[in-house]
Amino acid sequence: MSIIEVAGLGKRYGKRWALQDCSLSIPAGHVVALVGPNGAGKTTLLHCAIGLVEPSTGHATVLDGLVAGSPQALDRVAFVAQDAPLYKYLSVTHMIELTRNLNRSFDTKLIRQRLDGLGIGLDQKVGKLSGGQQAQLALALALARHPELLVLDEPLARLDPLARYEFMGVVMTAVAEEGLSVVLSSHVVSELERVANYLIVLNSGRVQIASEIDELMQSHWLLTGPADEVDEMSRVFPVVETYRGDRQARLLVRSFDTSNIGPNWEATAVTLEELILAYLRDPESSSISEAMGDGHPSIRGVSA
Amino acid sequence: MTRVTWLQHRFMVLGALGLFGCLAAYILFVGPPLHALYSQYVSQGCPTPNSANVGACVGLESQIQHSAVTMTFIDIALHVLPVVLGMFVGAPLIAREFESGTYRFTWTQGMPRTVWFALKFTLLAVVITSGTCVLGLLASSYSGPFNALGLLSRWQSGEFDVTVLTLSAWTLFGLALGTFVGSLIKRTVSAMAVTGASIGGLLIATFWKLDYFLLGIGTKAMKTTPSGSGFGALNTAADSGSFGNGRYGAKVFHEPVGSWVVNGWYTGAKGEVLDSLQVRKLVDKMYSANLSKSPAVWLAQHHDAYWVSYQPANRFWMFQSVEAVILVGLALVLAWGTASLIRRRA
Repeated sequence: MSIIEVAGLGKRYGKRWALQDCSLSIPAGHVVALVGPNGAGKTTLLHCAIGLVEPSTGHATVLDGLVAGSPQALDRVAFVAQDAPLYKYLSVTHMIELTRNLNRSFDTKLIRQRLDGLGIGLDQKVGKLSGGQQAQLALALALARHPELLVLDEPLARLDPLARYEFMGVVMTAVAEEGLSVVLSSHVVSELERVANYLIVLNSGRVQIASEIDELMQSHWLLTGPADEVDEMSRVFPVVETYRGDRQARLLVRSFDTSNIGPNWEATAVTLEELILAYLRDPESSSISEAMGDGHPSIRGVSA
Repeated sequence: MTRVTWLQHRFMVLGALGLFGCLAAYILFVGPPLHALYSQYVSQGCPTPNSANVGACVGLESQIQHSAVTMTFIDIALHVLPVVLGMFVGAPLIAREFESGTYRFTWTQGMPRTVWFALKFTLLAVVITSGTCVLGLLASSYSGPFNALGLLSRWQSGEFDVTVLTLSAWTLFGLALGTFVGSLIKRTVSAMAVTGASIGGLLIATFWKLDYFLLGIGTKAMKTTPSGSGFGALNTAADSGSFGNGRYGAKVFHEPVGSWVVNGWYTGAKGEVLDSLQVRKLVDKMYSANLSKSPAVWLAQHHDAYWVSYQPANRFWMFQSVEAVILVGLALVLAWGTASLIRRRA
């Protein structure tokens, strides 16, 4: 089952394409990290998937074919938007009541327990809560709907490290207890590395990576060796990025097998952050399979 | 959804109800003294004045006339009401959701956003227009003595647009226009300004032009006695003595009774319409003849006639309904437009 499937998805605001020709299928049962620089189209992609934005081209479905934004889809998908927009003039109790009235299924008991555990008073005005508490409240409201898919748009952006840790702790507990799938966009790569098991890198409105993180880590290596042998290595391995010094060079390559790197080269594991940054630095590179099979040892179009 | 709407808009609703309450209290405060004066006027037989009661009647009429200024104030306040409600209730309804970003919360819940909007708008519209219905009834009741004495007319723009039907329809239109503009502009203050200017402009245009255009459609014509007003839309005297259901039982001064005279003109012996110069000569001749008979009779003897075009009294509620239906229709179109916008825009 795919939790989000988009085909040829594009969104244009005026003359600018926020998202272009985006096709991907995210399998269920994952915590998916959606990464990309500012303006990459992350929020647009998520808004298309949740039905907040009508795509200019293509279409989006969720949970195995439900039209994004349809009542059937919204019954089973919960969304926490960037900055957790809630009605700041309402009390927490009223916010709960409002959300309960807007949904067919809502677990009031569960949310009261969760908020109690987080020390968020029910009589407090939402606007008086800290940024972290507002994010937690938005998350608790989403989880009380018992969704099958939870979509989080930059949920960690405003949070301090402790609040981030607590927020993601609640998400991961829900994943473990209820088996829901999660898609979250974020800039905080270190946090994503801890929780996500599927990565999508979006850059300049196009998908660069869409793969399980374990698979990505196994298929990317950092090779260190003499600078004058870089060209030779480039012919053997698809190179994502080259760091060339006077004597030594480092290559980030895509390959499951690095046994044939030669005696002058050393292969070390790459961190997720290094991998993501390498792709983001070159928007033209891609790890997805659109051009797979062209036989060129370039990074473009080589499948994971 | 009632609970949700109440939670979200209670301050707005309470503010509107407070405003309605103040206006209603004012009308209820100034109303009884006026009706007491009019009761005195009727009980002293002033609708059929004679030499015995004329002194008292003139005094009473003068007092009632002095109160007419309050009706002007009430008319103005009720005209402003749809503007204020459109600006402060309609415009922020969707614009504030966009501005604060809360649409991203509300429109991603299980309830479809168009249903959410339809329910919320309907509930607010029902509460607000119910309030204006009451105010329209109170205003009509208050203006009764003025209309009965021919000081004012329910057909005049001032009163015509603030009856139970038209005031409610204008209010609904104001709310719908504000909501539409808010969902189009997505900025509360800008939407309020545009809404205020739009409804205000339309109300002014209606007051000065559109009402007269509407009431000029399908008029009847009849020969009658010149009222002295000459050409153009005539005065409220045509309404004298037949206010509403005749509860005041006043004397009929003029024909057509309770009607709205749209236009008046003189015709000559061959039935041709006389121009202003000819009319002036005719009137001079008529009055220099030292009339001992009705001007209509004098005119007939000289093969001339005075005509009026008018809307009969029994068409009043039909025209009220026409204006209300147009406004409610526009409001529904605007509400549909808003639903379409929020289905597409984010």
